Amino acid sequence: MIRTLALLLPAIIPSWRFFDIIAPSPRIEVALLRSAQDADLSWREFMPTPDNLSLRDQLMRLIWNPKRNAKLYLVSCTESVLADGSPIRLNHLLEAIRSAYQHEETLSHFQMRLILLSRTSIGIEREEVFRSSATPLRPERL
Amino acid sequence: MTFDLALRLTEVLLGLAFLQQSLEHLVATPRERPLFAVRTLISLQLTLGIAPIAACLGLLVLSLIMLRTFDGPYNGGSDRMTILILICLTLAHIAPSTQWQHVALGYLAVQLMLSYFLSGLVKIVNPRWRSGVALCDVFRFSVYPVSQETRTWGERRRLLFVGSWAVMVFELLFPLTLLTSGTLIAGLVVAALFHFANAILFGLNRFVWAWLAAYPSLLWFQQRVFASVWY
Repeated sequence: MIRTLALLLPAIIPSWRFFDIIAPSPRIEVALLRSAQDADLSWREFMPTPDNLSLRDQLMRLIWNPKRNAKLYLVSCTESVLADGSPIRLNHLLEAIRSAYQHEETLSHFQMRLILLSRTSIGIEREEVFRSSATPLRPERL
Repeated sequence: MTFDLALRLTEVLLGLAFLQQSLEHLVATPRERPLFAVRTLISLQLTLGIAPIAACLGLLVLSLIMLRTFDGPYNGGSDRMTILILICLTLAHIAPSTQWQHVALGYLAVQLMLSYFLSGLVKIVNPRWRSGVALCDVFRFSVYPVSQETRTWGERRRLLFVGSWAVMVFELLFPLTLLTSGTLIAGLVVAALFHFANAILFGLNRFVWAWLAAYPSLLWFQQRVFASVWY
């Protein structure tokens, strides 16, 4: 009950601090593995930004934008994981990855890492701030 | 705009905003579908004005379940705005007197006005926003640009400097649009175009429908408060 009220309170008394600071920006990367012991970690960005979108697609997304909104939710999950280690949101991140790759039959596990991009005096810097252990792509059979 | 008309328009626009959000979830993970199938039906009920109090209470319960399911809002600011509108709308229906009903809708109107003003205030005190660097950073490395092509806007420093100041000045001056109904309508048109641009450039489509749903409350509030000042 207290947790629900704590989640509701920012909606009742909002802070409206949109984009007050441009914080380091998270990216989710995934390595797909043939086994839990697979050492060949080839990282790829999860749900990467497309190279370009037509104006028609951009207008259509005003009313139908589920993938984009799912991605924004996962970004907020990464922020929660990094801020307070939220186990619920970490689980949602891992579930989203599992759901995207569970049909890759030759692969059995994956690892996730979180990268923070930030501006430094020499340009945009990447820093790895979290790495999961090898996680099964499908529920493990007993 | 009368109180009853503002209330009805808020119901229609909020119902459509919830409907848009809920339909997007119906293609998400199977776990989410039952919750959002129910929400789709109740959103339609609210839009059509069938037993609106029951619809508001039903949507409120679902919003609380969603907050627990996702351990917070699914879509940050837009979810918070739709929940705020829903709470104010519910209170405007069930409050025991006309005065308290007006307080509920008035609170929403004030929060809508603050959503622009405070956003402008927190930006203008930040030297990175004043220099245009912050908006360049939004394009260059934040997660928001909808495509790599859009990301290249981060190199257009002069344009983004002007854009930063246009956004900050508009947001800070927004409360002044309440002086007359004409200036308020003009202000809301500009604000809607601002949300539209954010949807096109950053994919923040839910903000468009969430904020539009709060506009009738401000149109009513302006007439309720300022019409009596001028006439």
